[in-house]
Amino acid sequence: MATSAIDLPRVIMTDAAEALRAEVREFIASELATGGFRPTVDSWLSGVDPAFSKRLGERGWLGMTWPARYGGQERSTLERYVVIEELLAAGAPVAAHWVADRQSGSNILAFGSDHLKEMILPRIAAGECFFAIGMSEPDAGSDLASIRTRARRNADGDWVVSGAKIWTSNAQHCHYAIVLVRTADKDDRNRHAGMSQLVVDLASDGIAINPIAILDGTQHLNEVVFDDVVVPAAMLLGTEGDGWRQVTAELAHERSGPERFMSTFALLEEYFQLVRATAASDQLELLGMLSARFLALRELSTRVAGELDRGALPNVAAAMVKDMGTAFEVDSVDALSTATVPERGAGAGDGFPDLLRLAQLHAPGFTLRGGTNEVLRSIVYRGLEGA
Amino acid sequence: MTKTDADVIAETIAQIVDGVRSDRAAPELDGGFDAELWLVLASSGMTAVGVDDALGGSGGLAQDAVAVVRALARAAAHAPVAEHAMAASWLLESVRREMPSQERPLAIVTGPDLRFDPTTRLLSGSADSVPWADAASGLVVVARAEHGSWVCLIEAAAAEIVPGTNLAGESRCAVVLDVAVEAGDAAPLDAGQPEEVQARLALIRATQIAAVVDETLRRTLRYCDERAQFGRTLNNFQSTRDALAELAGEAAVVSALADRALGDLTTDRERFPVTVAAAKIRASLAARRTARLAHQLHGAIGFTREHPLRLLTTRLWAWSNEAGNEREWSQWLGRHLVSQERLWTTLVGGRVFAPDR
Repeated sequence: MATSAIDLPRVIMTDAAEALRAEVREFIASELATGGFRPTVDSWLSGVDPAFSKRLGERGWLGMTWPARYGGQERSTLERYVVIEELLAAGAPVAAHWVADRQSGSNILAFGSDHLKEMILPRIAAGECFFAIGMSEPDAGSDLASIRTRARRNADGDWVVSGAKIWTSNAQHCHYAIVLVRTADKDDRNRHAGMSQLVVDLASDGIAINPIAILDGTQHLNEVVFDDVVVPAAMLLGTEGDGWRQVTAELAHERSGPERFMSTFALLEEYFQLVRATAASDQLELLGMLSARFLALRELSTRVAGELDRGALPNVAAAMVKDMGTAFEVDSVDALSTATVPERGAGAGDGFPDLLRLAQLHAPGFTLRGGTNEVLRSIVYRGLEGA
Repeated sequence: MTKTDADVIAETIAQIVDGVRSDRAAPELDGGFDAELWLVLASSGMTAVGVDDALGGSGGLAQDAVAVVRALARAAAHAPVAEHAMAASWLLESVRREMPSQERPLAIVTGPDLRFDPTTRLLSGSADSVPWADAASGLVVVARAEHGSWVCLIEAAAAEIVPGTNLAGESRCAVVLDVAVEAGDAAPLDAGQPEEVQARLALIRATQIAAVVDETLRRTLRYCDERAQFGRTLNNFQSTRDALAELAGEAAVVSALADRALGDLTTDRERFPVTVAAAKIRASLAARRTARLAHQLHGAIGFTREHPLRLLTTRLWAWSNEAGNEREWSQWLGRHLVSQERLWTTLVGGRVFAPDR
């Protein structure tokens, strides 16, 4: 193997990206001043606010990298990175559009027909169309190749879908899901063959969305049951039988972003305010150490974004970001939980106890969603073998 | 991928080190300063890379100097180009002092007890754990004066030097000074320069750690591909793969952040103190984790003095504590951060729009 396993080039934020950062900060400051949102942890899962999403769309901050004719701004991946990291740092409610903007839209742009692109992308960019991920199933979590949801052609050539997806974040608020289905029977010699992706309108007849409460009692996750749901032929995404390859391409986008180590940033910012008031040396040390770990992850993550801009698919580095990033989030919760917790109403940092409770109850999900850390490590190892 | 200047430098260094070592009857992996290697490096211009050629350096960029430092770290070479070029020579360069001969290294001496009196020109005090002072021709000393700090260049022979070593057997000396500095060999430092010396020393160690973490990963991958137990090579076991993936993650993240700190040194002076502190913290954390994982994966053989793994892991342990360990830098960084209004904007930079909080 080469001298270094992963050695991605440094990324320089352009003046345009920094100008954009200033715009986003100004927007966030005005939102906070007018009560547009309340900062929270894990806001990209639980902060569903369609009106906020629409305000982002109006500013051109959704679908930013896409062509103008599909409602995009033709910005770079790094410029998009700046916008989303600013929103995450502020704990802004970005959950409604998150999946559509991050991966469904890009997936449609990469593999979709002109019809699909024209129909869907401008609406995502406007902040009016939200997507859910239809990958995991009750018997296919980490082992995605074991999915059983089946789509068969009917006499009109349309698809009829039967089966169930699970852990589908915010499906109750979404317009569509990209559903990974079997369009051919399972072949034990080629487990990845015979799968396809369908863009399914979640208002279709035969769909039941059953909420699943997570530890904090909120219902962001769902089971989505498909009972002979008719999906028009035109809603096939990409090529029949090519679903596995398309899903794999989607995952570099899904795994390398700043949300994989910033779910708890709003908590860290509150802790910072608390430490400013106490100036206790052990608390300062913890602040410094967590900040260093954060900066290291951000450095690797921005380099992955730079690679995506160049058209590469750095799946190994993306898996590393998610593995180490989510471990950092969980470590942060544990460490901050053992740091002194102030009395409520203590002034600076008084949002800390509430955010800490929420972060603690959300923490188990960090290292599970989007591929468990065990799966990610096996991806990293296979990448090393091939290096 | 095309070869960069840094790649060419790395290959050249590896060839030089191999060449010098293969001429020897027994490889001297321990022991003191490798004078022979130093001379070959000096004669090929590798000891003064990144130093202004008008002042007797070889020119080139800080990135090139780092390529030399990384390659020497991988090779566990006893040749302190890092301190010589990236700290001592840089400091002389910054006061426009011409470089002494490159035949032996310069050592950098810092510490809270060092004093310089510009009137009497007397340099006094002592410092511990000075890298390679016993190998140096000259000492570049940063000392406090009544107003501000000064840099002084003195002959090493003018100092009392008590040899010692770190865990890896690298020279770390006690230095006692009581010497009159010649005119022209002392210069006042600008505000911020003494802090930059500390930051550079931290950057040097973070960079070396990144190189050695990566080298440890490389060798451990190879070992796990060769060693068989229970009828399978170690890399067939899931727990081994898990550990190797973790090692690879540490290597990637530490090199990325050390490289960012190096970049900020030349292009973003405002962020440099934050990134270099973060780089040393993260490097020290990675160093300990890497040494632990690599020893576990190597089993008992890696625990023997004979096995070369120790050349890497003893450096990782020693360097994680040198130039400020992760706890010291974390305290510094925490203090620095809380002197600012917001965490996020301080970590990332850019214009601040402060909402009412």
